[in-house]
Amino acid sequence: MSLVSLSFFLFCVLLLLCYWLFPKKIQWIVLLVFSLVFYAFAGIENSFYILITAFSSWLGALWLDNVSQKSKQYIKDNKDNLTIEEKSILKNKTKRKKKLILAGILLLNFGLLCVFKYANFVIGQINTITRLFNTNTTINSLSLIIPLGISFYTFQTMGYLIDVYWEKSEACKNPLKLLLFTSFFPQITQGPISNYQQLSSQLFSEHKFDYQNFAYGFQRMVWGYFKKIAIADMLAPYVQLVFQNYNQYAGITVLIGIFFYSIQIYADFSGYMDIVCGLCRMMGIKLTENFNRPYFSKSIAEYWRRWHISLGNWFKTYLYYPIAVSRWNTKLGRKCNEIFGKSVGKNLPASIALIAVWLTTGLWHGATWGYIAWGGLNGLIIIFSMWMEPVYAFAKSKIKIKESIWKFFQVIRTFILVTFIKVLPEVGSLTAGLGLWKRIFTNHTIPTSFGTLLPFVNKLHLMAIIIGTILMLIFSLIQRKYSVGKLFNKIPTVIRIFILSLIITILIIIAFGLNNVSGGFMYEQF
Amino acid sequence: MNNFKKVLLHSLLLILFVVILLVLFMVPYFHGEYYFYQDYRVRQSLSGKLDTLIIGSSHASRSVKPTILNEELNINSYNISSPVMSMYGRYFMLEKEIKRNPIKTVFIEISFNALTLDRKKLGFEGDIYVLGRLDNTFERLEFFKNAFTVDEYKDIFSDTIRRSKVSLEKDMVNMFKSLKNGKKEPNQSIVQYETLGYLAVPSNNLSMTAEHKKKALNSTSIDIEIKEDNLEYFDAMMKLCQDNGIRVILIVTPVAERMILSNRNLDGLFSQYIELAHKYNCEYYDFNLDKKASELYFQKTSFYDNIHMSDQGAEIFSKRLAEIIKKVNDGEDCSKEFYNSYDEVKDYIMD
Amino acid sequence: MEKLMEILMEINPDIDYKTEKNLIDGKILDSFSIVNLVAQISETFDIEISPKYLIPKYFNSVDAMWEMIQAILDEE
Repeated sequence: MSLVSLSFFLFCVLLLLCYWLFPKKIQWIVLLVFSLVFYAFAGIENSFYILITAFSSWLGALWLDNVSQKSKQYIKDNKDNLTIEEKSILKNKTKRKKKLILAGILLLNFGLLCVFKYANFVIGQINTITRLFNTNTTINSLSLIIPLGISFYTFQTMGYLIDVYWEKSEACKNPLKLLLFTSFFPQITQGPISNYQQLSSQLFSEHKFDYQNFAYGFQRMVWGYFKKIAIADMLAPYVQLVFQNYNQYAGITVLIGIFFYSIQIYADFSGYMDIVCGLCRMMGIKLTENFNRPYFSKSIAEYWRRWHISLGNWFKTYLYYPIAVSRWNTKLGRKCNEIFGKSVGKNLPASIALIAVWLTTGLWHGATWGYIAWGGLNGLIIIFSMWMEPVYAFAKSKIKIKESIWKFFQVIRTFILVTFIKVLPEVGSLTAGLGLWKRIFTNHTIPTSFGTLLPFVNKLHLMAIIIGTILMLIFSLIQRKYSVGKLFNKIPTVIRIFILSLIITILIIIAFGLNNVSGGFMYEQF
Repeated sequence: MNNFKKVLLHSLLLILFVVILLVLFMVPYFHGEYYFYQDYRVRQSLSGKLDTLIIGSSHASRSVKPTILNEELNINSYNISSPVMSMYGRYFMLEKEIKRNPIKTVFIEISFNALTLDRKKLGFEGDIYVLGRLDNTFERLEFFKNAFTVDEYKDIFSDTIRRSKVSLEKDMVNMFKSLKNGKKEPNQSIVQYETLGYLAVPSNNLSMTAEHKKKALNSTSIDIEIKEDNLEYFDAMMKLCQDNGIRVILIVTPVAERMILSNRNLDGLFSQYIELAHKYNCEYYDFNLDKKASELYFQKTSFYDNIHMSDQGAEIFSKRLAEIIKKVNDGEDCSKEFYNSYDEVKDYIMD
Repeated sequence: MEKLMEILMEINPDIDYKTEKNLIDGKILDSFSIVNLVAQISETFDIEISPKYLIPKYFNSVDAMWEMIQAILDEE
């Protein structure tokens, strides 16, 4: 179900009515039913897999909990009878058992994810290799329909399972509640990936109707739709043209194209977040934020703490830290400290963890070499900056620049860097991405007019896009100090409602007016 | 419950504002004059004066020039055809004009798909044009209710938004120009004031080599099944004219040779139309069977495409139509001016 | 406790660990420093810090860290 559709609108209206009119005790059941309906819309055939994930995690978590509790209870009951050695053996046995259970369920669920997402990529690579040896054996790619949101719900639910393993979180006893956690529809297509403790407290508590939340949530939804319809969807066709035909445009046109992409992807992704966070707020549910004015970051590392925050947090919690503080890695760090000194001792373990995180992040985004390269590139830059930190600090202390100018330079530099890196996997393939970069730097044609600079752009559309982008920028600047929502709600009610209506009307006109209507308009005169 | 009341009130206010804004947005389209087929003001200005109507789809709107008919036959005619007009659309427009004009004669164009078109497959385009050309909200609502099905509503909304956007843009450009020049700019879109409903299109070369003709001969066929709903409204139009003592003349407008040559079953189709003409005892002239057709119309210049005439072709055809009608009015038997079947015509073209 | 302070001073000598209560939430210590810190703590106190402790609650202040170390020692 597309968020920009009549069916979604009706879905939301129905959801809000049911949620607020039914007794508070069953609010979470309303959410579960609507989440399942939303999921079913994407195709009932593939709904099976999310049930596997939810159910296996529910079972696994309870089992883990059970094993831990049993062991702890046993040790407690027999505190005086057991020697320290016996206690240690028991603890290790429990640990091993828990590890097995965890491994099994992780294997099942990540296995499913990998098959759906990466099977064809792997097959493709194998075929490439066999072709090199001139054998005629090619494996046919599987025709798989990837279950909706599998990357998101798998990660979210496995996070829960790992939390239970670490005893960070209690196991959820009610399988339906865990199913809701897994399939909660606002997050299913694009995240945010939530942590169990945070989300469960929101989902399962009873919410009292609060007008302010309702109004703020609605306003946030309208803002999200504005970003999506008036900015992102308008830029999309232009960006596509540049990506598909970069060799036909001047270098500078392609350059403008990739900046269009930066704006488009931010407007699209953060707009989506605004819509789902706004909807949740209307129900009194707080979703974790995924964006924090990312283009204002001063370094790549900071950028990844402000863009797709929930994914970064997931990788930090479940991949980076476990690798970085693992026994072998800390041993390695210690050895390096002895042999090579403090710097290497500190940076090497972190670098290893970072490589793992970034290659996985790249893969998570897509099953292509482009994405793997993209992930690796991000990782390398972060690692490089980490190693170079003392050098930068030294240089900065020697060169006298005003702090604000330096910060401004850092922001611009990061934005440009991010923009270039971002497009690498998006053009279609790694070679295409590199080709696009090449075009920007090697083609020095200077277009002589607007028509040759941006031949595919409608001036009216561009004006609308620029106005929209400036609005986004203004909002971001305001958000550094104030809440835009609070400011907006200071406006008198009727005027406020009128402004919202005006925006909504404009969005309806854009959304419906740009539609490619079915039924051939052979005699179209307009 | 105070909270809920607040929400309800604010929501209703929001919806009200959105509806008002959307309606305001659509005003230039429905009541302005920037919509290409928008001729309601033209027809309003002629209301009470017309005695002859030409009604059909794009075949008629591109080939019959009322200005020529008026000159040759000394009548006051108007061409209320528009592209892809459904039978219901024709009936609706006809009824409307008959009510406010002393109509004595109606030319109904029934070219090859007038009665065989499948409204579901063809889509709602023709009905959209008619919807736009109505000038009265109640009429529009009635037409809207009958002409469109619920599953088409979303697309119609999109279409209306798009046309409203264009109309609004043109309106603003015109307003801007008027302010700049200090006087009201004439609206250049509405040509119907001069052409009396006829809409010209340019010529394209549709001539065929002998090779080409051989290849094309009887290579395809058309749908010849007359649809129930089309027939229903056709009957209604006939009855309307009968009740008002109006003379009905059924005409088939000229098409390019390649259209005639390619289709195997034209006689199968038109024999049904001839039957209908007999049933209602009205005149029927198929100008593709006109013996003079090959000398009157040039494949190079008289046609826009396979089935539509160009401006040059329309000029010639309108004169020919007037000529035939004059002869008929004078009591001549014009049946000898026409061939008896498409097969005969094909033989002639092939030589 | 002194040992802990020593480790912290080595990682970042500019912070006033006695009064600072917002080391993680205030982004004063970043994730690289944390990794380093954890490595040092586990070596110095011979404990294994399970990832479940890698949350702001246990690292926001020296006292929080000390309590965590004690809790892990008690468990073992």
